[in-house]
Amino acid sequence: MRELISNLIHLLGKDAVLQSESARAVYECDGYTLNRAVPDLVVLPKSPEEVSETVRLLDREGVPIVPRGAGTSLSGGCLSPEGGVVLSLTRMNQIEHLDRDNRCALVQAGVINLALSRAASPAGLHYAPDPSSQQACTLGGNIAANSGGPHTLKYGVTVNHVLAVELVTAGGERFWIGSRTPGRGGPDLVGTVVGHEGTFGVVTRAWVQLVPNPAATATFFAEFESVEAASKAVSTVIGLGVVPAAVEMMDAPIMEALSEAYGLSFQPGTQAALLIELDGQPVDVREETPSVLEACQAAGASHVRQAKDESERRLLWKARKQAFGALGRITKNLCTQDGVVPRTKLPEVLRSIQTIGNDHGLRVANVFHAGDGNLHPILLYDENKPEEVEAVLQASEAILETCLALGGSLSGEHGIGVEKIGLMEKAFGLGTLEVMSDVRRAFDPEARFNPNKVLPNGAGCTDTGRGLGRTKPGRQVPL
Amino acid sequence: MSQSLSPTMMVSEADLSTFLRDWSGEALLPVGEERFLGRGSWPELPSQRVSLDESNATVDHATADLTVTVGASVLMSDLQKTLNRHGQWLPVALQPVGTVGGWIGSGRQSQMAGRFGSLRDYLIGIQGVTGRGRAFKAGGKVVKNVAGYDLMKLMTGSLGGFGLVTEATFRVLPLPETWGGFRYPMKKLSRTQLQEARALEPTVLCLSREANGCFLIGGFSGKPNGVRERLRLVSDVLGATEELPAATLRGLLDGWERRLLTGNQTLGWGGVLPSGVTNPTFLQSPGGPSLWDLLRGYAWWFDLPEAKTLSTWREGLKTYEGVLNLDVAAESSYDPWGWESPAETAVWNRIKDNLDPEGIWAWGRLPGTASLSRETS
Repeated sequence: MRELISNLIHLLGKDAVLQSESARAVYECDGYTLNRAVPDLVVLPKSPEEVSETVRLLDREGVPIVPRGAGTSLSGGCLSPEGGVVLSLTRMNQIEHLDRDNRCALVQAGVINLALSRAASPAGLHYAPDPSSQQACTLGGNIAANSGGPHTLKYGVTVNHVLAVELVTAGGERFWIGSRTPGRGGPDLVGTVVGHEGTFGVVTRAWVQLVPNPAATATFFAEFESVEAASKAVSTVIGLGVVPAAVEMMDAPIMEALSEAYGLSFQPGTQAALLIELDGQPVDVREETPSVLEACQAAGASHVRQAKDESERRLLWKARKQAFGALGRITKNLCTQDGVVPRTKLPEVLRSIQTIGNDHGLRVANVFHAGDGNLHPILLYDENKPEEVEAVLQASEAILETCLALGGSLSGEHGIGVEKIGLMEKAFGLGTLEVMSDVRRAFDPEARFNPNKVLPNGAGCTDTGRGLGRTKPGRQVPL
Repeated sequence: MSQSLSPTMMVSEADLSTFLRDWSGEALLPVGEERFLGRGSWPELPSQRVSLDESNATVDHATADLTVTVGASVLMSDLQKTLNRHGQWLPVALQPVGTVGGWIGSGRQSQMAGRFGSLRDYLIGIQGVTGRGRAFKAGGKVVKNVAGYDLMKLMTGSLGGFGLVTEATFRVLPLPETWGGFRYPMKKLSRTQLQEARALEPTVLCLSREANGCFLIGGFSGKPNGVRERLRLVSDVLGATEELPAATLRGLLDGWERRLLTGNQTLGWGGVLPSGVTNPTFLQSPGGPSLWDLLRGYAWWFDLPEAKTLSTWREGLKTYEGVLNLDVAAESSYDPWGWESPAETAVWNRIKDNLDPEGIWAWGRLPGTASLSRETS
């Protein structure tokens, strides 16, 4: 290990190799704070070449490698439960080329999501996938997780906006897959790699697609006296042939938190609210607006407000995107779950979630992407109370099993990480997991990258004794 | 390269695992209507065509959720009709030719890909078998899903080399209420006019090379007022255009779809960077594509140009990082692929080795893979 560290310092520089316990402790968890594990070492390369050489050195020693962006993962994707080295991409934050004519950009993995949209804005373009963490999350992390966000309903998720990826795999091999040019043909390796959660290798750079800023938008905030009514409005809008850019729902606890945090006020009796946005050509927005109003009114909306101008639009979105932060005023800790169900099952799953919360003595708030059935139940608890931590784990599992039972999936956008690995066999069955494992081994035969994530038992389901399952809550420090 | 001409074997899904477990013949080549066999090269070894029998049902159409699950043998045109009856559609072609499995395996694009994306953007769930009958199921019936690895993307464009798709789930869109189109001679078109026409977000915007010259063919879809206004705006941009009623525009789109899949001619397909389709002079160069999507850069040739023209175009497209691939109608000396990527080929080969170590499924159609062959006893 000493020689390895020496080689890494020689390659990367002393300030790019973090050895002290206090420095490493910063990387003990990501946004999923229920599981923590301090890595053996943290390295911060500054270029694809440095990543390649770093991986070569680490691979030679058989050291597990955990790629990490900003650490905003909400599933423990950046956790290093079996030790190993966290390879942080945050110093690789250059937008190498903004190609206005071809509406794409060459970015390093550490570029912050919103920074790209800001850089593209003078050209009238933006990067469409907009997770709530976009002010902090990195594009490499977005690619690893196939991140979504509120506007995925119309614009798609990360995989719909990635043209090519530079990947460093076992042995430090560095290569590009995909192309900026359409119509090449062949299996979609880019689509296979996006969403790999760091288990295939390290994404160092990517060509990503940019989309034109919409010529017009219309943003609505509608309040309802029940979650069912709000859900009905969502189905009606889409049933009228309108595909909004975004349809976000929030319930009473969220609105209570927003009132406390930002002084926002809502109609008395409001139990659920929708933020609906249309965008596109002015004529389309004009044509679709009556459908949105009609759907909300038909569902019994108590109040519908349309943003009069851009500043009001920004205020409505600020309320939505900072809802999680606002919850900090009413709870010590929160655990954001992520499940997805067919849209028509929303009322049923939300009722089930409430029941699960009650059964486990937990308060649950909901703010989520109603348009595509992607839920984010937020469990409120105190991490200093072990019984509440245990309740959160059990309730989380119950919620995900409910999603599966209703024809949904374990994750809409946060990924499996360590958090949901214990449910993968139930969701897919051993046969499919073996096939997925075969695909993974084509990139990482020794399971060197982000081991014990996504698939149970690491490299192959036939391996025994290496399962992670659900980690005991609380801090975990390697011996 | 020689091709096996033995009859296609029909296998039911219920018998599939037994069939594969006991199979000891040539490598298997999944086929549907056999519309896309010309794509890539033929496998180097003779292969036995196999087709799913009885897998031609709509398994589940969740109309309110805008998803549909179908067997892989379902004709895409039948799927589209089923969706249309409920005011929905798969925005890949109006009356697509071929089977669901064929569209997935070939990874082909339509002239609306520039606006709506391609089939891979709508494929949200898949079931299939790989190797000697290992069944897999990935994705699901939800439109947003990041659980596990995306096997849907892996199978799309794989030309059957990794295994057989038995069932697919798609997300669909509301069917546009109406359509309207226009036609304009390319020789009058300036770069600025082309850019302004693109900015109106047409459903389709293509250069069509016809006997009497090249024409810009465009179309809009959506609500009637929106379509009317956009047609008016494009008329403002271009000057007098020939308006194409909805039926005429739809007929053109259907006609293009059929030209790409019929006859014995060798078809070209590929694309260039979007910046490559902003220069009207370049677009009209002799020997160029029969159809050119001017939104995204996809290109199609209905008839193979002579070899010298083909080589000239393959070289010329490189200026815009472009590629020209071929769907060969018969044994041909042309290299079907206009590009290669040793790194990607290596990954495909490793995936193939892991998924199908015995080489049950025919390989060798993808770029750079032709040299691999299944060991025979």
